[in-house]
Amino acid sequence: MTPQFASLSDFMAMGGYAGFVWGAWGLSVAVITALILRAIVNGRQQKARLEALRQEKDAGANP
Amino acid sequence: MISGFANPQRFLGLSNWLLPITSVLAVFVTGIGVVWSLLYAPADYQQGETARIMYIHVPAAWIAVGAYTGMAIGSVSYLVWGHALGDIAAKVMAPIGAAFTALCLATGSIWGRPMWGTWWEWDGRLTSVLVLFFLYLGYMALRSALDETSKASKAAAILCLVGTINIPIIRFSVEWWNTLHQKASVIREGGPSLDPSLLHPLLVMGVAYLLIFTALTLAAMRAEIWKRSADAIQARLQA
Repeated sequence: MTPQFASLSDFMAMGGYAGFVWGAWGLSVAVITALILRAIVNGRQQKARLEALRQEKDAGANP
Repeated sequence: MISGFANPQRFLGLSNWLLPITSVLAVFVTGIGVVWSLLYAPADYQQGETARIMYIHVPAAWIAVGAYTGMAIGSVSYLVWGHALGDIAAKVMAPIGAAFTALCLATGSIWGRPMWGTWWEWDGRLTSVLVLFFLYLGYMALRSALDETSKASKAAAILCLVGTINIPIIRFSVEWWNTLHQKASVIREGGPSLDPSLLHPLLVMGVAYLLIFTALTLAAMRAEIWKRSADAIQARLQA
């Protein structure tokens, strides 16, 4: 297999369709990155909330 | 095996190592797929470099349909066997599936503009995928409008199952209404018609999207289990 582009500017130009190809790829990267960040933040928040409530419950049980 | 998966506590233990493995694999396969499809795959003889949009459009479409099918399976397991994990899976897959459906529609529109000469056409395939997007939104709207009760979960599961009628419509739309969108070229009778030089990077991107989707779903299911445990403790503390 060989790269299909002779130079970086060729690669960026995408045969004259740069706006379409990079637009579609850029959008996909942005949306998937947002999904990953949302998963990380939400996971941390829910786990922290659960742990805080468990401590509160234990404190209530053994004053 | 299945009932092992259906137990939330056992799922937390299992996903504890399944999530990092899936995430690492996703990074690895995505890296290969991106370089292959952007740099090494040949340009299409008719579509030129715009065919590189295929490598993100088609996998997004597979996930759009696959996530809904996953929601339907989760909904059935919840309705028939009362598996809470089926309800949790269906709930968390909805926004992820909706995002991939939006990506499928947007990248298709961007691809359609230079190749078909239009951003949008009320073609059978395009319209049925738009309906899929609205089904996701309707499912999420229904869940957020109702309090978290078993009644809300049942209503959502039934809505999801009614919507599965759209899945075969999406599949066969390109056969029934032969207007603009091309016919299936990968999952078809007689094997793929796509040239191997384009098919192989597409399959790698398909696996990459599947791994990303699986990791996102596992992470969201874990967060939802924690949320439900926290809600239960909070309700007891306030009682």
